Amino acid sequence: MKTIKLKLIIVLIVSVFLTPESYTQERNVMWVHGLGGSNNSFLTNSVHHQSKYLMKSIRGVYDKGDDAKACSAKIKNQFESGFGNGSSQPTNICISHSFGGLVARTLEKGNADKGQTQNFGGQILVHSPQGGAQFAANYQNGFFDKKFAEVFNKITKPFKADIIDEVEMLIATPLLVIGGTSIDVLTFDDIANILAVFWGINNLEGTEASWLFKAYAENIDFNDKPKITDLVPDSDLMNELRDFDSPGQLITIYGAEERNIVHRLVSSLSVKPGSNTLDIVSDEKDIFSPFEGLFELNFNINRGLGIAADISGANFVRKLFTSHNTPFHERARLWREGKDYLNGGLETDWLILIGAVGYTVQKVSITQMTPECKNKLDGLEILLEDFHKNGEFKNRDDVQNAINNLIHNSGCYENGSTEIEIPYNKPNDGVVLTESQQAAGGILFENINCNHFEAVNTKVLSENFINIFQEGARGAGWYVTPLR
Amino acid sequence: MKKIISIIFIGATLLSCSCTKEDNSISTKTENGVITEKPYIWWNKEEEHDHFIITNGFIYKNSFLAESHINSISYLSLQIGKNGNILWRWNDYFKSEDLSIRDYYFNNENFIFQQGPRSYCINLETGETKWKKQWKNSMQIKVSGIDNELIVLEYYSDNGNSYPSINILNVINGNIIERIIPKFENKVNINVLGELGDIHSVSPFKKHGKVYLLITYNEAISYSKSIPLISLYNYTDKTWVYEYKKITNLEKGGLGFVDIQNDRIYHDGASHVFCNDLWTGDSIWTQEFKGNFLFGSCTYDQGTLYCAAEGDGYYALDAETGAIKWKGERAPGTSSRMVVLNGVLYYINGGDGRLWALDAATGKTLWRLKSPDGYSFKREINVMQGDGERKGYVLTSTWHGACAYEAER
Repeated sequence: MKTIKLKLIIVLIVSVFLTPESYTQERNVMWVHGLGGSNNSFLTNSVHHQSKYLMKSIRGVYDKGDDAKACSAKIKNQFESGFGNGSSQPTNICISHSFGGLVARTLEKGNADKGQTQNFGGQILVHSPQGGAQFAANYQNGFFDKKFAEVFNKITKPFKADIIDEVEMLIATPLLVIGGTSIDVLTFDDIANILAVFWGINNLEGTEASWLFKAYAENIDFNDKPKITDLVPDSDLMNELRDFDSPGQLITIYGAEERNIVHRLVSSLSVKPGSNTLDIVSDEKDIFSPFEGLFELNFNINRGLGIAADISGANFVRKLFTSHNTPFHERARLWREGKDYLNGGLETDWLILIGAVGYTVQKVSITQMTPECKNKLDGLEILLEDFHKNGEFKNRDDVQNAINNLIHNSGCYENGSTEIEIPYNKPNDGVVLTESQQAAGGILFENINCNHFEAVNTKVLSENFINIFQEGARGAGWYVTPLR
Repeated sequence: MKKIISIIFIGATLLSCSCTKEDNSISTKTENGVITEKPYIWWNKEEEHDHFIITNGFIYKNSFLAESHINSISYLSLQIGKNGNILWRWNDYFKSEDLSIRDYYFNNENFIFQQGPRSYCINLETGETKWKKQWKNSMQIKVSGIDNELIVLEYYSDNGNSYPSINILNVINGNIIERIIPKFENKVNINVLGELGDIHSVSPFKKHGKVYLLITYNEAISYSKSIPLISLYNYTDKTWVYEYKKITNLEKGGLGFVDIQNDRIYHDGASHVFCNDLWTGDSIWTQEFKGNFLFGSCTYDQGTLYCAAEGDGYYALDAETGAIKWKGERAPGTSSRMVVLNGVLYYINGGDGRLWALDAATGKTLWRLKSPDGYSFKREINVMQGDGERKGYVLTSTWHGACAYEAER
């Protein structure tokens, strides 16, 4: 009898404590990082939002070396072990960044294919390349390596020119010392090594700049080949997801930057992901300015030395004995080119790498010489050339007059048209084209001026979440989540 | 093994960024007749990245409310629109994030806002707390009121009711005076919050000496779909003028902007703008767009509705017929809400983060201003009439603080 009473008491206590009050029903949310990310990605937003809204957060983590399908199996497992019976509620949300969005939709498709209950009632995709990423295709076909080597060579060209004569270089460029030899092709391992050396030598550990290199290592992992393969716009995965309509709710948050994309990208990567949600810190104007200042300084020094060498006759003597032509002036030109490249050329090259340069073909009207007159003119010009070669100037004036008559004869011209290609920049977030980010559809929101890597951690995204979760003007959206 | 160039840059400043550089000495610059840069009147800049100021859509005696910071402590502050000077600071909150004020009601000197299960009333003259209280459950952020009565909306049904109610509070002390529940028929389907429906907004107004409450609400069909409804309540006589009128058969739910003008109700939702008769609730016209209205929403001014359809464009609609008067220059991205001052429409555009101004009559672009911090403006904007010294004030925020420009007209 005592046992029964005890059991009843236990049941009563348990039922009292376990009966959920209606208003404490919390949403289960999984935050899934992007390519090369880790459980530190989305750290700020997940913690921040969990404490602010009635939601419970869990972080989906997947490994390097796996493709989207393997990754989706992992995060499904994590979600189901994390939330148990609550892992199939229609109120659950999956919030994913970049490649994580492909993992999340693959999970959703896998559930649909197997006839399983969905884990999430809907998805929020953040800067996710749902239509693929051209940089992945360019990486696979070798164009990325080639272009990256070109970029590196363009920036380091003036440095390498200064190696020609180390003594002169040391005089001319007191702010830098260069050792080693030039390279023809760089791999990403090489770049990583260079960055590591740069980091170590400059003792950047703990400084803001150090985060650039950590972010590079964490976010741009080109050795993760299965994921790169999945990311190619016409990959098997992309084709499967393109034909798959998400059964749940879908919100797409995208970025579309318009200017100084490389500067913003580098700037955002050099920011330390902190414990608080980041304010906007990218500074597209000034991120390269110290670098540009270095180029400008070396330009001025070399030009000054060139002028001094001209006056002293040193350049003349050098050319006489070495056949090298005024090295100071030449190097000044290269430093200037390097600076100009940082200002504009680098941006263009990056846009090409990520597939953001398109061309519109425009037909323009032109006035051109008729083929008949052109043939006559060519014949006369050959004749005139022969006169010059042979030294025979007989009838030369007649030929010249005939040429002039042809050139000035309006009957020799006709109106025609030709097609020209006008380049334009496709909207993108610095890494992924906007059209790719929008490919899955759903309700679209834009992160104001927020680039690909900023997205996981900034107040821009937080502000969008405020609008999505609890916009005061909206009542019945699936996304509504009251404040704690 | 390829040989690697090792590069030594002497100078630790190589990749450090210097932020918030500004140059206010530049005079107005134009591109194809559109103003892209002009001097600001003032910029209340805060240096720390983690700190910022949000302007709210509220003007009180030529001053506006903002969030400011001292030594990492957040304050609500009242600032003078003319020069940005701070009149008072307030930080008597339960949670600092409550300062992200997205809706408010004010009457006389009382300013009231609501965040989660917390309500605050602040004296605008002194910057002191008049009352504050915590509720059992989270309430909607949206508040409204009329005279000395404040309206707060429940998320969750309480007090044994089956449906969430409209709570009428006394502005002076925050005590509940009355609860009103509009007509629901659904007894089965629950929404994402586990409720049978939700109240979206209450717009009080006076007509012929009586107070009416226009209630827009949703009845759940499923966790993600609902039917938007309107009811009109005669608050003075405690009678319903009409109840349970369907705004549309669309099942998206989630109404947005609601405005009452000339005996008509204007509201947006599910990529549509709706116009209904105020006294019958019957539909007058509906206009469909490609984009949503979650951020930009609509603004009414002198017979025209200005609507920002996200990712689509900016439209002016004839409020009488719903016909499109003009579509503004296409600009990508989601917008801030739009504000009108003296025939000029102002908003922050998402794609470029710039402050845009359009001629409200024609849709012609007048401004596309770059932010003085070189980054972008936030999605916050407000306007204030001129004072003899200036034509008017356009108040907004950069990511490093609030700022003001002289209005176009």
